[in-house]
Amino acid sequence: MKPEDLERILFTEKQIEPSPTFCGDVMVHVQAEASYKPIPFPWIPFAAIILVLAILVLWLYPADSVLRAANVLVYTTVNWFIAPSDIALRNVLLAAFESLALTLLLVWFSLRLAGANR
Amino acid sequence: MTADQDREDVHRVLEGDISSFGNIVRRWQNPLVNLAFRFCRDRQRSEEMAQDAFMQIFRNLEKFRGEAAFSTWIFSVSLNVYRSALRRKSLPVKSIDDLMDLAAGQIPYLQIEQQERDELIRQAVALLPKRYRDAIIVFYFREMNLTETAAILRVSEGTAKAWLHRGREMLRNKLERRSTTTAAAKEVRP
Repeated sequence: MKPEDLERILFTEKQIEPSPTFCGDVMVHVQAEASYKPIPFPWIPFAAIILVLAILVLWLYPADSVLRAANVLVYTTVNWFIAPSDIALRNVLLAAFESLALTLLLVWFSLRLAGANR
Repeated sequence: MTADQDREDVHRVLEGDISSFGNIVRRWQNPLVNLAFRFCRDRQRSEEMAQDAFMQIFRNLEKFRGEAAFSTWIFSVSLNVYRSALRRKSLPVKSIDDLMDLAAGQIPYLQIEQQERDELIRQAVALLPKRYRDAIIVFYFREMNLTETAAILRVSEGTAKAWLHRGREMLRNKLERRSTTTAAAKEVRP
């Protein structure tokens, strides 16, 4: 096959016509997508929950012990990176587990709220 | 004229007049369906692919900054959609050799009509390795404009040229080898 034959074949391609309903079909999908409104994040209930949780923690534990615990947590985490030890590792893992559990709880609660707002 | 209308319609859609997108669809449905057809060689599927492309264009309309021509941008977005569509659901025939075997099973390559042979070659383009396939399809679709082809493919002109050369070479080799094999087989079994 000569190069010019290949050029001719590739250049001369039959044109196809879209179906008469094509434009309408596309616009139906476009309108549907445009009318979709994202669910707003429930900031007010979320803030209320955080506030309640904070009050609960402060009520259960005196403020200075919470601060001390936070200090210990930060100190052990930093310390573990400098000089890892088993106790520090246990504390870090415990803190990570607690954070994860709290995050999952909040995610679950947010999804419940979002579901209720649909 | 069309470029100005496109920009105006994009502006209107971004300001909330969704129905203006209908003008864009009407103006570009033909090229996008035809470009999709060159990738999949299936009329119904080409419409589905073009519809997905329009949805993607609608979603990304605000990313069109007007630096490139609207046509270049619209084809570039569509090309990505078509590539993904073909990744998700590949063509029924997997390689050029399979395609030729299938065709030879019906009519020997050398005996088929010119028109059918041309169609077979166009189908073979869709089965080339992706980069060569894209380069050849876009280049001939955009009337052999190398600068625009490179812009749509988002590569340099040199790269686009190299892909085109390699793709055409590969296609010619496959087809020549096939016609030689068919001719030899014909001589053995007259």
